[in-house]
Amino acid sequence: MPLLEVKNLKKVYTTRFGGAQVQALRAVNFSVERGEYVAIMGESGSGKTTLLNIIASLDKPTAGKVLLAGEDVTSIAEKQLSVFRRKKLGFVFQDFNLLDTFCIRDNIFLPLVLSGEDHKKMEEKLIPIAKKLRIEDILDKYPYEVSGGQKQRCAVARALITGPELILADEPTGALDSRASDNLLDMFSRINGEGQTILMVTHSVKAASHASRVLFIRDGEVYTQLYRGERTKEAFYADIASSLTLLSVGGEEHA
Amino acid sequence: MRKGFLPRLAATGLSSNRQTYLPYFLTCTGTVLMFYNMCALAYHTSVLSEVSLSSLMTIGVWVTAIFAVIFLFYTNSFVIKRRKKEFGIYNILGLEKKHIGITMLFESLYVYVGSMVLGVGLGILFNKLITLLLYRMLRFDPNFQFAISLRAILYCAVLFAGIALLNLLYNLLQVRLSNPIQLLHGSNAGEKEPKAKWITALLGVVTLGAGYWLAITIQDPIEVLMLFFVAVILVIMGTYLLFTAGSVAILKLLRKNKRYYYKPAHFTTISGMIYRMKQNAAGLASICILSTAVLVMISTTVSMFVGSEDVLHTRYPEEIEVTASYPAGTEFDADALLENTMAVAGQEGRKIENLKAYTSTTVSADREGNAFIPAASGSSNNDVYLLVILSAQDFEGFTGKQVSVGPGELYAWGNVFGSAEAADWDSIAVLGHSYPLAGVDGSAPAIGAYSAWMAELCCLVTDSRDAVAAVAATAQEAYGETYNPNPYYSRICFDTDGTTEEKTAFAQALREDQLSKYPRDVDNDPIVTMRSRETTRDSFFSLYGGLFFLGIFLGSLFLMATVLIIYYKQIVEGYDDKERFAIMQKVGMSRQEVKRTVRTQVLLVFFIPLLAAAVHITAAFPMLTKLLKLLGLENIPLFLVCTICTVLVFALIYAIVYSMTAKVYYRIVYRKG
Repeated sequence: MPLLEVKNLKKVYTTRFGGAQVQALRAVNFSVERGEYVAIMGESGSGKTTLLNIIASLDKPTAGKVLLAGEDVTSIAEKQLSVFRRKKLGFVFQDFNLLDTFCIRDNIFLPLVLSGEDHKKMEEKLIPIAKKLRIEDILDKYPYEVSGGQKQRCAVARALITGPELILADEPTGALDSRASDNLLDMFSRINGEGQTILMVTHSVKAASHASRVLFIRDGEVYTQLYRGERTKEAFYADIASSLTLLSVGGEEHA
Repeated sequence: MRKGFLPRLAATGLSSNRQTYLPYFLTCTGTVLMFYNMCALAYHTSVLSEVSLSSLMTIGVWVTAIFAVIFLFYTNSFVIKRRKKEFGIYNILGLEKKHIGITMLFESLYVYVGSMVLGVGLGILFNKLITLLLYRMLRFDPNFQFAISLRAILYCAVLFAGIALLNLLYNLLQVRLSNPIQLLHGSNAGEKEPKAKWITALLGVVTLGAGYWLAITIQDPIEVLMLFFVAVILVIMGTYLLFTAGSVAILKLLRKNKRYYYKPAHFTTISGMIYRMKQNAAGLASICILSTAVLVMISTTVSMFVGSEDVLHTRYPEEIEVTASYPAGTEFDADALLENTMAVAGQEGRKIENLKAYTSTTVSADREGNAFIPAASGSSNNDVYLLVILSAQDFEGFTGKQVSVGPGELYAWGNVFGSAEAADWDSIAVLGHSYPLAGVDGSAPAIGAYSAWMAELCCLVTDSRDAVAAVAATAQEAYGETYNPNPYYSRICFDTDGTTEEKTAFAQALREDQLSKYPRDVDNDPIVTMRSRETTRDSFFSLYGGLFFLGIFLGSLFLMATVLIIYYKQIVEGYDDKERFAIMQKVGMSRQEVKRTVRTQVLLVFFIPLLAAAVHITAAFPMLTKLLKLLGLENIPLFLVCTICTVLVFALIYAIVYSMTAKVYYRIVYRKG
């Protein structure tokens, strides 16, 4: 059974006064196996972020299902939603979403504190993760005192610390310079290598070339997908780039 | 640059930031209104000086002024933080810092002039209403001339110009100190976590302790009156210092306690409060001071109002009191005055009860051992004694006690005779004459008419009125010009039977009789005066009613200010926190947890100041009871009950505002979806 199954997902936004309707997702179908590293690519407005928000249970679909380990995310009661999000999912955002009021350590602890975890256990969980992400030295600093790359690594640590089934990353390299981006992507590859499933939405061909599979979304549908297979990163990069070109040119032809 | 561009830019700046500036403007206006009213009441309402409340009102003016400075400075720092980005854009678009400065100057000017005009205008209307109500309650002439207090307007203009200038300087400094990029990010830059300042905390403990110490230890009523203001200032300073330094220290201690800190509700609350403590501290301290002011004002005036019958009886222990002051050697006859009074009572059909009648003379003196010597002129020595000298016959007429005093001897009654020093005195000297002691009483003399005197009282009893006259003559010699021209004092007091109307009729008859029979002295003051409890009652109650009204009015004014601050503070913080709560919800904070966190956070902000205010009022209680005693209210249990009730009612109002605020705050930070 796949870890994540997205079936016939449809999302229609209606403006507040019932005027124009905008179809963000038409019919999205795909699945993610345990241990996969999947990137979702598409132009602005293609529905990537809507898709991610629905998978993350931050938004409700108009129709369709999202199954995470067999459980339908879209039908979880409001009360259980936050517990679900806390335990099953880890989030990495483009703008880090760290809280300035907490030091790095407390930022990472946040989901555990919300779960009512014992403080000693939290420390135990933090040590290996902090070592892996090389943030042991900045744990007592505040987010406004560290660099963007460090911030994003802390956000990754916060996503990992609950031991989630799935990491959802929304443009994780969007606010980073190229060195920090490379660094973070290596980190992701290593985490994935240890068995962590990752679903990443990105604009960046380079980021996508780290994944094991890339889904291309256009006009609210999965248009095509590419498997990396045995190719090198560089070869995969070239393939993704040409697919993207095809995607946009093809789009013009269809229109 | 074209003329008039910057003033227009300033106007645009204000109107496009309505959301931030409107509350700020209203706060300024409200503060002006409040200050104007305090000044007008303190300096222009003659009724208040008649009931010697002006000095208390002056304290009120000072407290309001201090409060205005701190509160507006604090509010302004919020406002400017939110506008940094805008100034950054101006700077990048080519406006020099000088021009930004001028724009800010115009903005401050607009806010200042606007809030002054509106605040003073509303203040005058409000003041008229208040004065009208006050005069009605005091039953003064309702056709009074209502005056606009120019002095109060001037004070307002100066105070608020000063505050506007202070804020402008602060804002300029903020702009000057930062480059455009910093300005651009100004509104979301993390504030540096405040350091726990131990010296400030210590200073706070010292000032607060000193204030409490004064409030608790001072016994002398006159000192209470003089040092009340000092104690108030000390406590205000201590509160601000402790809230700024102490609160951070306490929160950091709480954060160190990991088991407490890493709980969902405490976690976000504590870190959020530490993050914002600098702003919080001033706000919380202001809230605390205002709450204390409200509690003090309302509890004292309510207990005075409720206890006014008590006060009436303290002020007028007897139904009728007739007194006469006259010089030596006049034909005035105290016995004739008594007979005359009895005769009027007979005509009116009133029966006399609890009659006390006596004549005495008073001399002030210093003491050296067992010798009372003439007091040095202009001496402010605390050891001044007031000697009340009367004959054994008058002593009996006054106290009902008989003492046997031989010729040339004295019977002495006063605290000093109970002291260890006086144990082996067998005689005392009064202004150079030595008298053997016939007996002593070491308790404090309960001589009603003199109890408010600042000096220590000694009652000396001679064998005859001639001996009293001899002492008076000696005193005349010793003091010469400065001697009291009317050294003799006769007092007749008693209760009567009958209804209120009958008592009033008797008092009026007695007054008319005295007016016709007794002439005025050389200074045209009446020699004989009388007071009647029954005829005073009405004006007395209206006076206390007026006081009650004033207390409730000022109390409500301060309460309003308190509520506004808390509400405003929480709303502004809500907008600041919106982002944080959004992140926490993304990470997995549920609706219930958001609700619980908000509740804890708002609860702390609300009830820490209330708790501190309760401690303040507990410490102030001894001092307040003495102040009330000066005003004639000696019923301490009554005051205690009134204070507790006031605190409870206040807490109730507070709880209502709390739940409202928490709801609004929650609505701001909770993101649906």
